[in-house]
Amino acid sequence: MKWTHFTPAAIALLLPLIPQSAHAEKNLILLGGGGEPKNMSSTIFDNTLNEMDKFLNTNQWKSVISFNGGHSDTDALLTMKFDNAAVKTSFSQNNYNTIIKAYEQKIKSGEIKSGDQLMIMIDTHGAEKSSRDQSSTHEIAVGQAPSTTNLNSLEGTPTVSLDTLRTLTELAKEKGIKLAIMDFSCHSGNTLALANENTCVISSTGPKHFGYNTFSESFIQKMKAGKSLEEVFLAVRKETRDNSFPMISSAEGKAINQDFYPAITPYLYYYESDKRLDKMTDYLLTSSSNAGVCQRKNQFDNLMGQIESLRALNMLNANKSMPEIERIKSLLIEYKNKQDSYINLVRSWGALELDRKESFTGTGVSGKRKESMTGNYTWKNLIEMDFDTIIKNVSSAKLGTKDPQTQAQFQASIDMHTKAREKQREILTRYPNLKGYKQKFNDALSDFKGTYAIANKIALEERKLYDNMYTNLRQEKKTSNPCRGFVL
Amino acid sequence: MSLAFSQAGFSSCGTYLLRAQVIMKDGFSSLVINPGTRSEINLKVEFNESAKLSPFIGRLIETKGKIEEKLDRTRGVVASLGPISPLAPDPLAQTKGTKMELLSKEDCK
Repeated sequence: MKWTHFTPAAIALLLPLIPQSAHAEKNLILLGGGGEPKNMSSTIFDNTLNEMDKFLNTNQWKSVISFNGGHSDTDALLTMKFDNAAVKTSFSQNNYNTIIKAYEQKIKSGEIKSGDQLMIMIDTHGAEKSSRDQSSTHEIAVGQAPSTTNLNSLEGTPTVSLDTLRTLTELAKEKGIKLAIMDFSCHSGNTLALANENTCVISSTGPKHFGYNTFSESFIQKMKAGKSLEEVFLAVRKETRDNSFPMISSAEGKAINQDFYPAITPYLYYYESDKRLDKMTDYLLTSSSNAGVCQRKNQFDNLMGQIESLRALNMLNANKSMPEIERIKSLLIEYKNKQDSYINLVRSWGALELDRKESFTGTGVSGKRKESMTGNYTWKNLIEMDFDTIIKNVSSAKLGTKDPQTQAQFQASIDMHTKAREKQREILTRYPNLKGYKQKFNDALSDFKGTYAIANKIALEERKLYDNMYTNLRQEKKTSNPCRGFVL
Repeated sequence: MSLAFSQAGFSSCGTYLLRAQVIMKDGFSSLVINPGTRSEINLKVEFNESAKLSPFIGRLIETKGKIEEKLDRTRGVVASLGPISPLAPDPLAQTKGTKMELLSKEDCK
């Protein structure tokens, strides 16, 4: 049988057949390869398959592989590799749900027992959590995507929420199973919300940043029997050379994520002219409000304070000077000034006023009928509205009706929109750059290209700081954690 | 009645989640679901609510809309609108990213 022919029902039947023994067992679920464009023959995640196959050939793990969504070269790779996998199937919503439910059942029934290990490794595209998103984690891509996907939102791509792993984490805690969730997707820092006393969560990046394949590949390469996940994570993180922010759910990791990550977030961003990949434009526009500027200043002061505290701590404990502290401070100040110049530009255009609200009431009388219309608009609404077209359309409709009520309504509409148009003209006379300000801002950002390099220099210095912070915190905390307790 | 329309059961009154194109036609704002298909649905918005749609003419939006009178085949009237969010269009999708989903059913007037 070709591996891709497994249906969810067949997976459910096959999973209980994986033989179990009395000593602690190691189980792996590898999920991923989703969200890649339909017209490709392979996925950008294929190297993960190669690395994991090598790992499984030299380590005794029971594995289930759910990967890829219809790319021929990746299919071929899966067919040739993973000889000992209990199940090999494509990564679809149905297969994902079936596998997770099957493992919940295996824990409930005692097939996976106290002390056993279960690692869920996810290597696929991941969405940023939007303010409207109620989930505690984030959505990851399954199956195939359209030819162009927005890598921030994954709009148009089939997804599943990793909130669906919550029951598994609760069962792991209740039954004493060592669970590891390794999320190597973009924005995977959101998945740390699943961590508990028995569940270690490791992510390839923070909730607001893209992840990069090099992390997953290096991680699997460094997974050696006898090493803990925490050791592997710290070793890989130190060597990672991209603009991500890998995270771990240990107490030390959480402390850094809580204090340091929000402050350094904007300085790992960079400008991309491809809107599907750009995070900088939205960040700068949001930060140009009064509240945004204030928050930005507080976060920067906080970041500098944390870096200075680290310097003082190292001098006190080890009499160690840290040249990287001066380097990262200087880079941060340079990048902040560059970002500030664009924020000041948008503010000079009047962007601060965009949330201001205006109200207009128009009235219309026809015979004995009197009607009124009220419109409540922000300045942002007003500058984007095409009043001439609206007024022309309603005026034309008014000429064609004889019903007095409808005539009065149309007149009220014309009156209201005319008043709003006057306000629009007044605003644009005062702030002419507000018209099409987003496009103008994009044009102005053209010399912001190349900011990857400065953000990357900051990221490389950040690796050293993180390692130092983690070591200092470990000496303070000296607590066990499920990432240290998960020994390969 | 088109197949898609009858299958989806859009004849009920109640509150709907609407992802729709906003157009202005004959002096009134309307919401269009499945534009350009045989299942196109046109929802005229009550006069008192239509000013809310003026900033979004020509754009794709998401809102909640209350329908109080039974739809006439693929035409109807939205009596009130909830908060409106603009959405990014999905030009490749057959429905252009539009959608109409009954959230809570109520008796028609």
